[in-house]
Amino acid sequence: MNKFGALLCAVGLLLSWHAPASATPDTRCQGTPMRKVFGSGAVWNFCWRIEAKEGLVLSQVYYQAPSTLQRRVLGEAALSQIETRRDDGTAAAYLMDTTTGLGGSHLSSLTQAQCPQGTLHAFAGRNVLCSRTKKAGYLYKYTRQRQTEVFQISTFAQRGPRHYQTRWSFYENGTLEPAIGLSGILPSVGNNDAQFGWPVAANNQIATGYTDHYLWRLDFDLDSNSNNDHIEEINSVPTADRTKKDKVLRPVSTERGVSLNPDYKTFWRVVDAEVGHNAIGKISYEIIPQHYDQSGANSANVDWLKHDLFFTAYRDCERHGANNPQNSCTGNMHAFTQDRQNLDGADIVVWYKQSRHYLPRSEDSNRVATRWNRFKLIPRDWNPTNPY
Amino acid sequence: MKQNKIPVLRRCLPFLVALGLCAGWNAPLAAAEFCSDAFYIDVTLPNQARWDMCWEHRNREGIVLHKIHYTPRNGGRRMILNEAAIAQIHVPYDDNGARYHDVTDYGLGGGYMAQLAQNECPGGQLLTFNRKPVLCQQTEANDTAYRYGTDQLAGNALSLFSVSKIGAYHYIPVWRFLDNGAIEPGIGATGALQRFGDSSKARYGWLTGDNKISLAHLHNFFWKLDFDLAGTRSDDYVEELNFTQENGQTKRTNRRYSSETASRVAPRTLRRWRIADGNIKATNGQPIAYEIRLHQAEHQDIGPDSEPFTHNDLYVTHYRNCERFASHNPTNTGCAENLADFVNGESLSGQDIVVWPSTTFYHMPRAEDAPIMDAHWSFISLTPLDWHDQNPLSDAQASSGNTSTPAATPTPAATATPATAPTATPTAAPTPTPTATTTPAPTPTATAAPTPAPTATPSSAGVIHQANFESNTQDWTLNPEQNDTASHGQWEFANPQATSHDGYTLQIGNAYRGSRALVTGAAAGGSAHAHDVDGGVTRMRSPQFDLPAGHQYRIKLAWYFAHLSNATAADYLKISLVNTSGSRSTLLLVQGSTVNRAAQWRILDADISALAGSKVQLLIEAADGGNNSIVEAAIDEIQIEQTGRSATPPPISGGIGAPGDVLFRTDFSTAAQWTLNPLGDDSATKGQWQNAIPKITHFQGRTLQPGPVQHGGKAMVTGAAEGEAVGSNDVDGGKTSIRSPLIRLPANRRYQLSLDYYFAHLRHSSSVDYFNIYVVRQNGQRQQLFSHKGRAANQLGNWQELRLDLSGFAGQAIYLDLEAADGGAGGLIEAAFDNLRITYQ
Repeated sequence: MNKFGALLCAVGLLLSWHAPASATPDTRCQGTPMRKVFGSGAVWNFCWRIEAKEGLVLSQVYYQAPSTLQRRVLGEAALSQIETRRDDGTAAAYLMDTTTGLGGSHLSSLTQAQCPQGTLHAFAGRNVLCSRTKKAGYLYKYTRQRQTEVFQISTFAQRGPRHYQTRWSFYENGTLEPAIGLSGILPSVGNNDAQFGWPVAANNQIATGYTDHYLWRLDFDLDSNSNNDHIEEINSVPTADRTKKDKVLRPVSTERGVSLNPDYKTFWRVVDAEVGHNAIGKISYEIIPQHYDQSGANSANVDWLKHDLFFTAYRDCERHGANNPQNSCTGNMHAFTQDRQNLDGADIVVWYKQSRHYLPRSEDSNRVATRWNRFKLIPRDWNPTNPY
Repeated sequence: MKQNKIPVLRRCLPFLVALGLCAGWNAPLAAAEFCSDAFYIDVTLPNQARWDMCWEHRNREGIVLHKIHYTPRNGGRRMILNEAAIAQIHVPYDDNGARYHDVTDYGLGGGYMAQLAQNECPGGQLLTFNRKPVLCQQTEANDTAYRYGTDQLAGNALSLFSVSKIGAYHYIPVWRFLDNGAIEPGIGATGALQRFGDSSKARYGWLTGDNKISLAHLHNFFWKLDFDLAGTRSDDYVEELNFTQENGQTKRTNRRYSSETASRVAPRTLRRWRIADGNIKATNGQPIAYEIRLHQAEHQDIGPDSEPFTHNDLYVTHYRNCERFASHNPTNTGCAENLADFVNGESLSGQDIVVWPSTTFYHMPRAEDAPIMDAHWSFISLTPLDWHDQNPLSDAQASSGNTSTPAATPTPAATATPATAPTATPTAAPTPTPTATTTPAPTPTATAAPTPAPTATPSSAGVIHQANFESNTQDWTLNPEQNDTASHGQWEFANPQATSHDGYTLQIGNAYRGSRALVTGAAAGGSAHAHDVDGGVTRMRSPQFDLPAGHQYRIKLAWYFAHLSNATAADYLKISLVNTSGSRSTLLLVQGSTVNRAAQWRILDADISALAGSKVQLLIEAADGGNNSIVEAAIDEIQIEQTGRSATPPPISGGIGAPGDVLFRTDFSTAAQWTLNPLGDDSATKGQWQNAIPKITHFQGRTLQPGPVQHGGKAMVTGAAEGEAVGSNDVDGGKTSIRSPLIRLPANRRYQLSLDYYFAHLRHSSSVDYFNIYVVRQNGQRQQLFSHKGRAANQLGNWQELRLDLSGFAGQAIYLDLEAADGGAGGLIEAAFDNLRITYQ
């Protein structure tokens, strides 16, 4: 481990984490601290660990723009579940995280060659995480231009035919992009009904299509107090003649699921109740979804896939968006919301679902080209002006 | 020496093929066949995938890409898009205070196009227009191309971007071309916010610094994508793929668009589209196609009735040159004003299809967007769908988990190796005698084909058709279809007179060679209508040329095309080959633009082997479709060459050869790509492998080295000089080994390796003397394929043919190692091999 990083993390703990004696589990740095300092002085600070089920889990994620305060964004974040359903419906949904897990022995060991221009990091004695810094083109261009960079960490897990790359991209400007890439080989070839798949060149057989539902768990803890955030929904409602749009803000004050609505340009942000800037609003992070075009995937019509996001108040035993162990919590993110707990000033957890339907093609015959699913979390009013 | 008249290119061909550089249609040596070199982009990415295209600057659309071709590492070059451009950036504000049409009402090009500095294009190359650097060409790392087990490959992409400043906004149109064939068109937007209001406008925007309301707005991005899959423009079609979800099932239906159609993203049916070629199919029976997805549709918008082009996300029309912009399209040329009206029920059958995808970015400003706004990005995706039979970046065998649920344990990549080990002698190749001392078998002529290999020498190369227009032009037909529309400047055979305008040479005052060429209006003329093409198209058709099957062909001709800056894409020179069924292969299409183009003879040199087995006619077309500008064109010195037998079969059914077609061949007229002593452990002190003409060696009246090689000049031979004594130019002291170039065997096919060889020794030989052949995988793993061991008998040097099955290595890249050894007491050992080839079975 990088001693300097550890020292800084320790200093960070002393300086900014006023952890009460009765610390809830989500305020601790769990795992190994990692710190990325960009040339501009921007800093991302977080801890990472491998859980048997989720694989890569981040905690205590802090962002600091140059010459500004370091502030926490997330208490804990992970891909909490991958739910896979075949097009022909012949098998039950398969739940990657909780059935056998993306961590443990399913996590791939990495060689330096598999982490080009990057750095390997070990967990439990094995190199399993690759970090690297990449050029990311323009930060902006106006009367002057500025190039920017992104810091990425990836782990790799093999689950039978499927190979998943879990990646988090930390941009210099505070944007955070969680991603999951699917590669490997086709999971099911040799079936009869072309309606449920596609003939692929290999043996000219039908490869069955399938849908992955990726369920991320994002425990937002903006700034130092994790119990004073709230969710705001922003709608821009078109007038009858559709020439104008009126902005309508709506707090999401109790636990619920919500769905994308392009007609209203709906988006959501997690807002801190206290910290802000004089002239403008409170600091917040906004969720920018993707793959709306397949967001209606829900062949079995289950409750937890009927919405794109669910907002809940933190409970330690609510860890997986579906197939959550039910010894003391309910089983999925829809069920988590059914007691309608208050969200205003709560410790808020955002559950984001992204669905992706995979129609096999001949190109997948021997190796499935990595298909990325990602979305963004971007700072909104985190700084009063562009800090760059 | 055979083939001494064969051009160097032809000799190198097998090696180029082995490198995957020139397999298939159109070798890369034909540089810019569609544009001048200054506007030609030709990039081979680290994984050996190649993208090539032309670019153009236009005042409105900015950078427009043409003739976009993809060549996978192991396959043929195919065109995907004839033209790709941004068709509009429409920016309506939430307060209805402005509704910009940035492309048509301002423009991405001309004075709006930013001059780029090298530090904006790190690691890349700046391309210039009118001496202004405007386009940045970079190679980008693209994370993991695939991974399975430990089989992992890093991907790359060619990226092209330009920057256009319109008001406070800076748009960054970008095109990413991935090494796996995918295309990601995108647009970034940065700069500064354009419009603000006071607190009374709060409901239309967001409070940012200085107590201003920054007004919210949309960016509706539109692209015009003129697909011409595989280079043919009239046989593509578009399907909408929808999926019905019920009872746990997801059932696909394909709906083909028979007439012009507008469609929308539909999350509940997981809608996407494919554009498919009507003729070429992959091995799975599906047409080669591209999938189109609009995956950033979260802000999908429907505007007011006055903006019907916003009411759908993807439009499919048939090509009309004057349909350029999604909105504010000029109507003076007879086209509609916007995209919604382009869709007017016209049939798409047999038409050149244009797809107009769009995506929307809704920008509710943030405090961070002032005073300067970080770039935000919008992308759409185009993905090859059955364009290849397998992943074009992987040689792994096709495989499948074939599990309804994933196995609990990871399947290591090692299981992807072929299940059946290659058999050493499946086709009755010589049975190596296991023990040397017993049974002095007569000769190891258990060979299946001891007779001379039937392969005739490649048929002679050379010009089989030519036209230089000096005489004998009576077989050419002007206006062959009786539908030409040009009123002036029809094609004629003449000695052209020089024409210039404002210092631009538009017609060169002589033929390319000789005194006559095929020219449009040979007389001089300094104004429109004066002996240049006007009023429409003029066509000239050649006599019929026969291209017998089983050979490779190239066409070469000299051409020029010239116009002034008032030209448009409706002005063009087009050269095609038309077969007897009317199917047309375009060799060259140069279109007019708003830049003066001076006349300058250029050479078109194209591989037309794909047309082998047909009779074709050249169709040469020149058109002044628009402003009656000065348009001049000329053609001269047409040659069709037969360049040899089909060593690199053109793509058939997805790019793999027919049985009997040759994947790899060498006759050792050169051995530039062969590596002596590849493992560094050779021990022979004499007689190492060399690429040479063997000299006859006799020993006590017995021919050990037979000399003249069956198949021509050189062979790979151990010590080519003749020698009468042990230790004199034969193998001595141990082994000598030589390694082939890397040979890629596409998956899912069967292969035969055949070669001619001899292995000669005297009777004091034993099994420590041998001639062995190994297959070496890229990971270094060696597998013995064949062994001919010495025996205690005289073995004369007789050429024999050996055939071995390589099917077990399908899907892999391999080397062949050939070894000869004198392991014993320095007996007289001679070996040679020649005419090595791998054929599809």
